[in-house]
Amino acid sequence: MSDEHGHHGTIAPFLFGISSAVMFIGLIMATAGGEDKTGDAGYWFVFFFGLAGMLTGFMMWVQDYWNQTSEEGEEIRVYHEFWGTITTRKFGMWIFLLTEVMVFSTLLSAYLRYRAAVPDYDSNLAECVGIDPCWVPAADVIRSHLIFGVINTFALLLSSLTVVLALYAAKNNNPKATTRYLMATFVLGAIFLILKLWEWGEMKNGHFWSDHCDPLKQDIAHHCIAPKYEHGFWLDTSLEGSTFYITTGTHGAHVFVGLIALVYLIAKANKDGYNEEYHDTIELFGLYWHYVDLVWVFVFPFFYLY
Amino acid sequence: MITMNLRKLSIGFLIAILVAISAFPTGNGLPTGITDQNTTDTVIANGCTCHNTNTEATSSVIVNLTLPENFTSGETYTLILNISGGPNDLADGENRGGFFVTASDGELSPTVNDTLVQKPFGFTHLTHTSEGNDYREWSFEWTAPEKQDISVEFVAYGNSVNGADSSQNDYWNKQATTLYGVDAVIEVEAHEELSGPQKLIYAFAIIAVTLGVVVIGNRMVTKDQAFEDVLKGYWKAIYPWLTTTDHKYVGIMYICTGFGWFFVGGILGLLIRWQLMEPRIDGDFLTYEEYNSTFTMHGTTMIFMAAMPIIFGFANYLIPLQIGARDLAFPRLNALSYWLLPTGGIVIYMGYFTGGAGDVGWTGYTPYSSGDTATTPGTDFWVAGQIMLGASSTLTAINFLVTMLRMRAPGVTMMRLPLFSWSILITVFLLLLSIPVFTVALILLMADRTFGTLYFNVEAGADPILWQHLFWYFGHPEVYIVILPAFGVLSEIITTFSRRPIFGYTSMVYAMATIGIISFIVYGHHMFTTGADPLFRFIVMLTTMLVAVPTGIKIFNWLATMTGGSIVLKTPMVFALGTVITFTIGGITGIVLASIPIDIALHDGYFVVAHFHYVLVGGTIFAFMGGVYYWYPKMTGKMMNEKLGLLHFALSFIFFNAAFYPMHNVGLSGMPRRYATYDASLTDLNEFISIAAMLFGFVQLIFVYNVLYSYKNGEEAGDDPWDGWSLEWTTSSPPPHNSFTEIPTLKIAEEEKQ
Amino acid sequence: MSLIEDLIFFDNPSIWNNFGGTSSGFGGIVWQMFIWSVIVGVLVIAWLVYNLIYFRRKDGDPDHKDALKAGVFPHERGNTIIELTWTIAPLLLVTWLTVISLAPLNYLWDVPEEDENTLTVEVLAVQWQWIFEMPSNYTIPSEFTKCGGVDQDGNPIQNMQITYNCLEIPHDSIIRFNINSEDVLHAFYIVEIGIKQDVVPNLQTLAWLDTSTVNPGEYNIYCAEMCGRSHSQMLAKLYITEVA
Ligand code: HEA
Ligand code: HEA
Ligand code: CUA
Ligand SMILES: [Cu+2]
Repeated sequence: MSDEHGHHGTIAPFLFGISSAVMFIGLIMATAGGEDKTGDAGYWFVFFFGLAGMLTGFMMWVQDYWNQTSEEGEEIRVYHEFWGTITTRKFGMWIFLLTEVMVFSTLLSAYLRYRAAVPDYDSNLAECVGIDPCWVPAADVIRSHLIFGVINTFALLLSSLTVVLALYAAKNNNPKATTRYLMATFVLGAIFLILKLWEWGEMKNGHFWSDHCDPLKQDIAHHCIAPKYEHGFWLDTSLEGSTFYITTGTHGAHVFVGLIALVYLIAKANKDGYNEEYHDTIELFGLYWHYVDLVWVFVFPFFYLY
Repeated sequence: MITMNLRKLSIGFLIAILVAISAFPTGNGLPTGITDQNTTDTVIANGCTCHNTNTEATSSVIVNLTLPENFTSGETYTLILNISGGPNDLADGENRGGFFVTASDGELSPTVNDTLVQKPFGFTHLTHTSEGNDYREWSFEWTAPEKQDISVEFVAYGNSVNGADSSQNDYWNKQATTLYGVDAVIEVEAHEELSGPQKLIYAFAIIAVTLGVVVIGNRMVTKDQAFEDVLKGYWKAIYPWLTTTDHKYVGIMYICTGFGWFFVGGILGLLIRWQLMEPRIDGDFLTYEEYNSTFTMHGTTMIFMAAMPIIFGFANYLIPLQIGARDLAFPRLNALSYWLLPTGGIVIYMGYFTGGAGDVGWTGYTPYSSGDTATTPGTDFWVAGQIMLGASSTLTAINFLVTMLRMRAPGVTMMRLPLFSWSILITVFLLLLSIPVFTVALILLMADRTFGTLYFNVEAGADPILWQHLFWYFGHPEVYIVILPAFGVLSEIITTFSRRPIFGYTSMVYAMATIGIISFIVYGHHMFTTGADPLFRFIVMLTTMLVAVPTGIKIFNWLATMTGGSIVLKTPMVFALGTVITFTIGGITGIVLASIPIDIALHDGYFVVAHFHYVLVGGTIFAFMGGVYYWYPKMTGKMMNEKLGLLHFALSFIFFNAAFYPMHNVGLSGMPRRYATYDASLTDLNEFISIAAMLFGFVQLIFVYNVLYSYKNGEEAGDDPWDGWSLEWTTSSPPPHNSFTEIPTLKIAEEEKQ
Repeated sequence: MSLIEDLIFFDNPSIWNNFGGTSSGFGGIVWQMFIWSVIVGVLVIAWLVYNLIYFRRKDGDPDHKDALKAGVFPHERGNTIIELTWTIAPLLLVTWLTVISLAPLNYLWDVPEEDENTLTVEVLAVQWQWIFEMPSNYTIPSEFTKCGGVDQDGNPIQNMQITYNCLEIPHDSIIRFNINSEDVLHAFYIVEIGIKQDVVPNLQTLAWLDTSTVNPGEYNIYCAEMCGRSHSQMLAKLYITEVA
């Protein structure tokens, strides 16, 4: 309503709020509702309905940006010098990243708490035989196929570079290069996700070790893993699985969100082109993308190496 | 053109939602009168009293207690219990099994001359004798109770033994069954369909629909309009509210939503008090399970859906005005924050329509909340709704921080912010650092409940205390999140009505900042009785005590502001002063609880309940009621009625203390909280509390009346009715479309003079 | 009448006297807390009332020289010495309150070892009952009559090692509780003695009681941590009995 910001009323927030309620109601009823409290499949319809509503709300929101030549609107005037050195949106992004830091600190500290409390698995350790309270690190499950994690790490690091290059190109009024670098970023991010999903699938189905494993030498050095993972490693097999999949999954979700943003950026770069004046959005995306990258730099050693 | 389509789209969408919601099942009847919950994962090793088994539970043991369809009062039934599965399938001969059975009502007894079954002296349960443990099936008698309109809970444990001398490799399982009396069947069905709180919600729905029909019908008749025209008229009135991004409109929506939920939460609070009027048996008023849902919903509603929205409503409305900005930094994001709030609330309350709302307490402790003895899907709804509220608060915090640091008008430097603004600034800092943690914890809980992860599953070796750390890391800052803005309101009101500057502005700011910082390292005081590390608990005791220092500074500064001032006793001021008293009492009981040896006796008792109602109701709610009286003129341009205001205060203050002060005594006498019934010796006190609480709730109607009445009939307020200094008083009441006709500049008293 | 009395007196003697199972030194902390609370509370309220009596605005009072004006940041007021006073005084007070909490804390957390001088009772909490188990080598004294069973002829069985919702322990001895949970969180709460310890699955917690500090008789055991439907029914009796 306040004209100065160039914002007018919009139904998008309302739509988004209501739809997320519908989405959750659908999800819960579909998984825990019904006569026997184990889920009523009929409600998946409601779930997808809500999801569609959320998407609509989101698209309406994005459309406002799409219709403008730049995303910024009129920058708000600052009367206090120090705070004027950073734009409103960039400031907002930094603070958003602060909350994100809390998100991943929570996940990592929960994981480390478990790691500190439970001894690591060793087939010689008496307490690990039988019902086993020992921790078989996800790293051991992945060890023989670590290469995918390594490729992923490089893909993500490289994509951080391509974002910077895209920004650089935009600042140099080179729209073609901007688009290309953004696309490269997208491809690298997509590679990351695809490899990740593939790796998950392999772990879930227990393919990583069964081919080489000598049943008599069930230890990690022989590509064998604790007996409890004979049938695969998934989020409901053990605590190790839960922490691994939830943490890497949350990170993967962030990459996915980044890819969606990239689709927008690429389309927009194609349509209007980012240039010397308007490149803020790429910079903001870059901040987010570097952050996601940085998180991986923590997740990777904690889950793939430790 | 776009807006046209959007409008159509949203209408269609709304209708679809209504259809989807109306398709909801409402409770489930019990055709046979028997519910069977085979809780295989919460079994215990007491099937045989001569075994000291600590083995894990096994679902391979099948315990089967044969019961009649239903029972008639006084009649005696023969029941048969048998077990199968487990090691005694293989083992032969002696010592093959054992059992243990309890009934919540009626009388169990061995069949005459049966040497296999015994009833231990002084007990009501049955178990096998040393001869009986050679068998796998036992029969015994059960005499039905006098009443036949109730249900009886049977719990049977079966022990499957391998016959070896040691208790190793013996397994057991448990079965819980409910048997309904003949008259209970009908009653029970009705009960399941429309339980107490559910009735309430349906009643509200019916009233809303009736009102709608009357209002619309009336319009159609008197104005002679077609149905669509009337609807269009309303749509025109509502649509701007649905689409607004103006901080003033959003702020008002927040405040109204907050008070709306406060009303709902208050009703739940009164249901609690009604239940506790006297010690009640299960289902006398609320069933014990419903009682658990009631206080869970009460606490959740009050903290997350009443206190926080009221606070952020005021912040929304006032912060831009106080710092001289036209709006928040991200107005659309602000609207999103708002809309996630009522919708999240609806998700939380969905439990009531599906057979029982969440019953895990507002703290949602695992492993109860992650296990399946918690209500399903009510608890899932509770978790999902809380996630939405968490997202909402996170976005709000980001928005406010950017706005307040970056958009201040000329002259409004950090150390010249009004104290309410400072309190919100510190509050959003606390939110930023704490709410994501809680939201993540909730997501983990949801993953556990819905997708099968094991984060909180103790059988998989999870740490049962992890949740408490994550929750209280957020939960304690949370209580300061709801009190700091109240401090801000008090500071504003007390200076204005003492007609002089606040005493020690700088120390006020530092005190709040200190409280904020310390709040992150004191959370362990909620966990003094867990098995957590003693050193951790000890450090926490030290830091908790320290909070008294900055809080004391604030209290004493307020009192010093008044000393030598010229105090005007208008409604906002009496509310503020009342708050100073009640909050001080609540704070001091907090210090009492902070001493570990004392907390060990008082933890999870009514002393704690008394403490936190004194700081929450006597602190936050009272302060913000004062805030309503103080800023209502700015928001509406009308003054509120003084007489009604003073009456509201006087009665609230009296009944509040009458209701919550005796809770200290109840707590010291050993009554635990979250108890649906209690020791009969405490009936008098509880009854007194209940009556006072009802009166307290009732008195709030004066407030509602005053708000509505003054909107129509209040005196014109003018720009600065109370002679306050901060920038919101320089703009008109209510403020113009863009909040200020021209961005103001804050002057300084020292320079003014020259 | 009794209601008024209840409001004034706290009728839980254990809180005041033999709190936490010790009469020595424990009563003191509760009394001190109580007295300091009253002092601080009365101080605040008295000052507030004093302000209200002496500094009310009367009609025709002139405005202060530093009265507030809209749109003008007011004069800063303050006095470092006074402000320091009310920073340091509460600081000293809470330090003192922390210090007096230490001795009882040491006592409480100094759980005796499992040896021949202590009687170790295994406490098992399940939804929704308490199960107590005496050590297998412990001969149940003949004075214990409260928590037995009966054999098939109806004669009381006294030497039950495991009892349900009922625990009988000897007076004048040191009892150690090893507390375990089978399912969710519970809390072992001996009401009249003020002992409370959470029962945590996967984690053994401990509590202890020197029964020479309390009188023989009947005590209540409650569950003090929300554990589901029958949380408020998860009650047990504790009997402290004199043995020869
Ligand atoms: C607005 C909310 C609010 C506020 C402000 C506070 C403030 C404080 N709280 Fe409270 N608390 C809650 C809300 C709040 N609390 C809630 C909701 C729970 C229960 C949660 C649950 O389990 O469900 C709880 C529980 C709770 C416990 C756990 C009890 C238990 O479960 O066993 C403890 C223990 O230490 C505690 C302590 C304190 C302390 C020391 C303060 C201090 O900040 C108080 C400081 C203020 C003063 C001391 C008064 C003014 C000062 C002076 C006049 C100076 C001089 C005074 C002295 C020197 C003493 N609180
Ligand atoms: C801000 C927080 C807040 C507020 C205001 C209240 C208010 C009240 N609470 Fe509160 N309560 C909690 C927070 C709060 N509570 C929390 C966090 C818990 C712990 C939950 C848990 O254990 O998990 C708790 C638990 C709790 C218990 C303990 C339950 C148990 O452990 O077994 C009890 C028992 O008496 C109780 C009673 C009450 C009563 C009688 C009120 C009364 O003050 C209510 C009076 C109000 C009304 C009746 C509303 C009337 C209002 C209007 C008519 C105006 C409407 C206005 C508009 C429409 C504009 N509450
Ligand atoms: Cu067990 Cu509460
Ligand atoms: Cu706290």
